[in-house]
Amino acid sequence: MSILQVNHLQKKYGEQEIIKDIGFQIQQGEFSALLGPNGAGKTTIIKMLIGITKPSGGQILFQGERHDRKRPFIGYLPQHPTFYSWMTGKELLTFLGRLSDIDQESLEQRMHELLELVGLSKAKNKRIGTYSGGMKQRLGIAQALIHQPKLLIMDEPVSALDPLGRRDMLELLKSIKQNTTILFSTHILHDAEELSDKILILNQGELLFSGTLHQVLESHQQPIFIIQAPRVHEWAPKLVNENIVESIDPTGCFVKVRVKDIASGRIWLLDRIRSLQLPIQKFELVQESLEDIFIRMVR
Amino acid sequence: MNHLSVLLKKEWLEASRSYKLLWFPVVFMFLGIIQPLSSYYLPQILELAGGLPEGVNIALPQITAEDVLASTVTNQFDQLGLLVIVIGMMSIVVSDKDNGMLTFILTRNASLGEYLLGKWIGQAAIVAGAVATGMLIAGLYTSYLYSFVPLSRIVAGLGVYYTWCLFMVTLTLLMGSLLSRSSGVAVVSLFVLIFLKVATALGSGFQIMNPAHLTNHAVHIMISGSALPHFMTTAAVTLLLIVVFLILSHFYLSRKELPAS
Repeated sequence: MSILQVNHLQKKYGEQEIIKDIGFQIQQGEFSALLGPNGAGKTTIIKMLIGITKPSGGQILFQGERHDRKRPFIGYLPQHPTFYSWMTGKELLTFLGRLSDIDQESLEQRMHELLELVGLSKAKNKRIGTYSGGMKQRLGIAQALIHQPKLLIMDEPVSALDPLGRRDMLELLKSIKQNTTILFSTHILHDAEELSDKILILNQGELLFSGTLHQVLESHQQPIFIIQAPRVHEWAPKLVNENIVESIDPTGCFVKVRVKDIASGRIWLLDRIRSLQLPIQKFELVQESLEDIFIRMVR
Repeated sequence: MNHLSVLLKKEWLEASRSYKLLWFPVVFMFLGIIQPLSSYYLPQILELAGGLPEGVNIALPQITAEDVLASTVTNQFDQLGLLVIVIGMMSIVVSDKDNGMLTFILTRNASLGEYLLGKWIGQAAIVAGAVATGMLIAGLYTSYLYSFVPLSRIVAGLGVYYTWCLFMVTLTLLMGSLLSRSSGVAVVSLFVLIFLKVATALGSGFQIMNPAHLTNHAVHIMISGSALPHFMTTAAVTLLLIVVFLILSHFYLSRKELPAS
């Protein structure tokens, strides 16, 4: 059953269309990633989903129904949760839990479980001001789950963390994935690849793709040649050939070349390498990664 | 109204953690002490400061206990006290808007009305405690150094004066809802309040409608036991404005797009 259904969602600020007619669904138990570069409209969509921004058009349905008060359905973690630095972790959970109408007894129980889950049991009586970025984010997860929402929505939950905090967070998300439906936004493709069942690719307010990771690779993945040789920028421009080469993407010490036809492209490239006398270290035909596809789509 | 009690509890915790519960009453206690003391010891203070130039004779007016209390209210509470109230309250809504806590609270089951009411009652209670403490200390010192002022008059005057304080709190809350910087909140609130306060010196019929005129009513009550004419009008206008400010805050915030983080 679909937990969340979004139809023809639009948002305009004056003349500017931030979100242009977007529709998607999220099924029970799915882990979906909302992918897009900065400014694509990810946060705007999330704000409309959690009900703090009014859509200019379209509808948002939870379990098939419209709800003005979506709050019981949703747990929300913003991009930079600050909370009150003078509160302790436990006090914050109590405060927000009580505002979600959880009675004191079940709240105690739930708080205990969640603090255990996010690994903050020891720090629960410390002021939030003393928490690290990763701890705040984990506390954010705990507060978002305290009222047992049907859908957990997170805005860039791992983007701002250091590698260690990120790893912790990804592990935590994996463990809550089993019994929670999750939608999270990110601009880091690797995180989406690692966690999600489904991805929604967004650019400039338009939904470019929605489907499983497998589907996006199947329908959009193309082979590319990777050529590695010293002084990339000297010879990369010499590979231009409108009839054969589709795009050249020099990155670091190698060049990604997309060709129109693999067979003739390979012969032409090898010829070219020989005539330029490139001291190549690597010549490889690979399948595009999600990142390559994503960059191609949003350009 | 269960959410309201949760929100009020939070306000209380915040006020005690930020020591507002301590320093607010302490400031007003200080303001309450300074007037009776400085009036009483004025001759000695003048002496210590080097005395008057030779040949200059001034006759210090005979000060009564009521005068001392009256100047406590007009000279201390209405100046430094007013400043402290506005500065102490300037960031109450702004900081919640900025750091996203308001969004957090509103994505729970609490309503905007409950949130604003929680803030208002919380801050009003802190100010009430502080002003009452300051006033009672002033009364105590005045009674000791001068003569006994009936407690009933002090309490009645305090009640009237507090309505004006409530106006200050509500105005600051409204500005906090409308503006996005606490410095702006302080500047606009202070400007309005000082303007109203200065306008009380102008006299004329407009005073009846001026919330700052409540100070004069309060002073008159303490001095003579009864308010100035048209007291009910001033009080009614002030209370009405307080209600209007609260409604305006709610109206504006409910239409504003809040930051998500």
